[in-house]
Amino acid sequence: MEQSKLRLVKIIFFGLIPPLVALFYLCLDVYWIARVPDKAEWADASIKVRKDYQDGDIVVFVPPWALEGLPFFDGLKVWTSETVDWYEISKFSRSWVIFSFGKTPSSIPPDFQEIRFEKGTISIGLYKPSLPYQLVYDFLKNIQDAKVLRHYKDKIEECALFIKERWYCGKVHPWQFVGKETKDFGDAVRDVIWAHPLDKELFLEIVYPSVPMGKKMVFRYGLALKSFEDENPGGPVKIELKISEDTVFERTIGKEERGWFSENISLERRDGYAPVTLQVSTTNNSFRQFCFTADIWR
Amino acid sequence: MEHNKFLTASNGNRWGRRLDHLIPALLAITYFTMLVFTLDIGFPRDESFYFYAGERYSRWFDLLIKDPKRAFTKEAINEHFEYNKEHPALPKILFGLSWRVFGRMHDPAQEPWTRQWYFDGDPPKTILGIMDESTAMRLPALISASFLIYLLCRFGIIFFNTRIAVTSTIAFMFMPHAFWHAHLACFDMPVTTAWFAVCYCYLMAEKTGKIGWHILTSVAWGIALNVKHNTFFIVPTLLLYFLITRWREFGIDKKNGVFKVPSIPLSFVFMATISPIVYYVLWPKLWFDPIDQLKFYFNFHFHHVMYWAYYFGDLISKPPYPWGFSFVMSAVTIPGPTVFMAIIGLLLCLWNWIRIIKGKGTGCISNHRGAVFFVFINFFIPFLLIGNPKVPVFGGTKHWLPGVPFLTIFAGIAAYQMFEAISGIKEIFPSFSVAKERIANLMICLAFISPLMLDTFHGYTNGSTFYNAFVGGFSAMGELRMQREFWGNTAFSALPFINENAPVGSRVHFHDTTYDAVKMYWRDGLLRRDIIPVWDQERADYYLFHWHKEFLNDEAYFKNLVGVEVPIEVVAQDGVPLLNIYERPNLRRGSSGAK
Repeated sequence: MEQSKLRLVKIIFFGLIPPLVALFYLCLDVYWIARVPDKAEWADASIKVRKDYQDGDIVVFVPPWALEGLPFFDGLKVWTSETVDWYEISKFSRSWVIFSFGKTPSSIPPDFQEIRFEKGTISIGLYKPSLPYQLVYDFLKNIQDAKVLRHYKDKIEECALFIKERWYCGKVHPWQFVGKETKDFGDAVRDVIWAHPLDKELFLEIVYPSVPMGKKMVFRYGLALKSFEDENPGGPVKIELKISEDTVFERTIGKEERGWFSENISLERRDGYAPVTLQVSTTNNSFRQFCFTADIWR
Repeated sequence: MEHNKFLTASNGNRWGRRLDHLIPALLAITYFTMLVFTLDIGFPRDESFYFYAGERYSRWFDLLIKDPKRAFTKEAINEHFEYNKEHPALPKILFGLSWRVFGRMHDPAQEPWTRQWYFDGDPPKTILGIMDESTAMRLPALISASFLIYLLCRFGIIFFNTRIAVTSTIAFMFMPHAFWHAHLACFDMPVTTAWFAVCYCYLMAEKTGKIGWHILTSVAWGIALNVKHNTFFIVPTLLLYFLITRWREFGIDKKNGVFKVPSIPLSFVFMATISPIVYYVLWPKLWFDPIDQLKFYFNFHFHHVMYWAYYFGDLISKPPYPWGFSFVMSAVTIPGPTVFMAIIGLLLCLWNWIRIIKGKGTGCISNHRGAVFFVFINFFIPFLLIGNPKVPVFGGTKHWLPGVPFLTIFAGIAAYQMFEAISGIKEIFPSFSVAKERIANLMICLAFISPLMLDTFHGYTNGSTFYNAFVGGFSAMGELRMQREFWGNTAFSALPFINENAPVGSRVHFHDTTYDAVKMYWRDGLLRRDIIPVWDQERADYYLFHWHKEFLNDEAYFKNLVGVEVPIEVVAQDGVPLLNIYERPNLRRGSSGAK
């Protein structure tokens, strides 16, 4: 009897389970392959979007890596990074979300209100941000308003050369500038304001002299992914953000601290216009690719 | 598992002995056929360097024929074998010779523009000319990979049984990453073959005691050292095996108090004496400056440049590297049924071993004592070497390939137990006839082979990007943020678009594809000859951006530079982009262009 039981266990465990696992695997295999959209489906999705697309809209893909159909959306504003930064998406008046690979609107944040949704192999949703705020000032878009100063021990140097949305000190330089750049921060490639610090605790100062105040300021920052490639990266990066003379935020980013960070700063006690100043410094500026964005919302 | 169940299918009879050679040969031929019909795989960076090296090394043989005395001078050796001296010469010599014999060369008298595609502007004369140049270069690699199939099956038959041999061999044949690497004129599959060959010879020497096998072990190791430096680690692996399986023979002799050790295997003696000679003879760079060359060689690899690996959303470029990287990567890149069966096989063997230690088991999984442990350490050590947090991880899954054939033997052991269990049904249900058992076995084989074949052949051009269905298939590259392609070969899949659409004289930035690879694309007629390769974003009309995490800034730079948001074409595998083709705006698109 014992022998029979043992034999039965062997038959089930070794004889039945492995083939069932193999069959299950085969079904999974076929499922993953079958759900890949073909080019005709991407083309069809793009036609539907183009029909009602307006200036100020953006196209987002969910999952964000499903970009085989990207060429069909040529001419439209698209988000192409590895993860969807819904904060950045909220700056657009409407977002067309292209769902594929079985993704559903459950991945859309609650801040986005659905205008319409069309289900299919590729489903298309149209959303608009339902935040109670309006963007009133984008520091990246207004980079030309900035004044960039380098504070040395014995002097202050103004970087007054402005070329292609970048402030240079004296001459064009591959990394010594403050201005528009596009960098990978690990989770996503972003358009940011590049502000590579000076060395040895000399500091870089970026001043926006007249920024309209509102309800809040969203200050986002981090070190680009390249900052961490070397075995001996530079030092921690210290940042201090001031509005008028008040320090509203300060932090030291650790030398191996990866990520794109976000800070909401209340502006409720402020109105009118005020200068906003960011100071950036480090003990060792080797590969300290500090970048930031900032937005005022009302 | 009882010992007598593990006799070979032949059981000693003549026809059975023939089958024991015929089955491995048939599987090897099948594998070779599979490889030959799936050669539409691009040329990775390293392969292009070895194409060039093969070409240069082959010129030494011209000199050998023309002026043998001069060929053996230091100057001639340095002139011909200096390039790529950080790797031994043997594989590249074979690639080069095969290319010379079989390759269909261009004739500059008819096609003057082809001169620049060859070393020194001097294409050699076609000899047999029966295949494309790249295929001719790859032929030795295809043969060596097929030979591995033969050896693996033979090993399984000799030390286990035919069922284990065939199932483990088939498991290895249908492994997307190994299958992809098997096509390439590189070292990773040849070194896997070489490692396995040394182990095969060693264990045969141990089993038979015949001096011929001991000598063959040393020759095999000498040859293996001439393939790639991984094979230096065969020595500590074999030593470990020797020490652990013969530990009882160490001790103090009670009669005379002398410390006794087991007799040293003759293989070790020959490996210490014959292998260095073979190593020396087959690597011309060692002939005149062995010390300097070896210093350079070891120094190069001890301080190897660290590339990147993209692993669950982390871009890894420096230590500490993730623990168990090799184990995890194999678990997600080997087809799921094989992983499952390998784990079952490992656990079975572990359970059996525990039973033997406790004195409860009398069976031996293999007919050769120690064989299972031998298989285990030859699987484990290559994996462990890379799974160590101090060892750089890059190059996908190729650096521990030598351990993979041994892993499949455990899958074979589990498969054997599975068929035994099916066979045991009739002892509980007598109506389960032999015919029904055969049908059940056939269904089970189909249940296993179908997904393995699907995994291997679906997307084989991009086999190095395969992830198994348990983690989402190819979509794991996007969903789990794992490595996509890593070696610059995906440009191959962009060539039809470029050929069809790029205006005459377009400048194409090939990104991670090398100039040597572009030359081979020209030579094989895969790229229009008027296309101008540039590795300069400022000048490029087209940018073939290979999707590597570490290069995303470069993609963004080009997009901003030329003012485009989206690529004009995407090369994807199961919906995941591997390469984006960007076109400079307002570039006239046409189909003109001559080859």
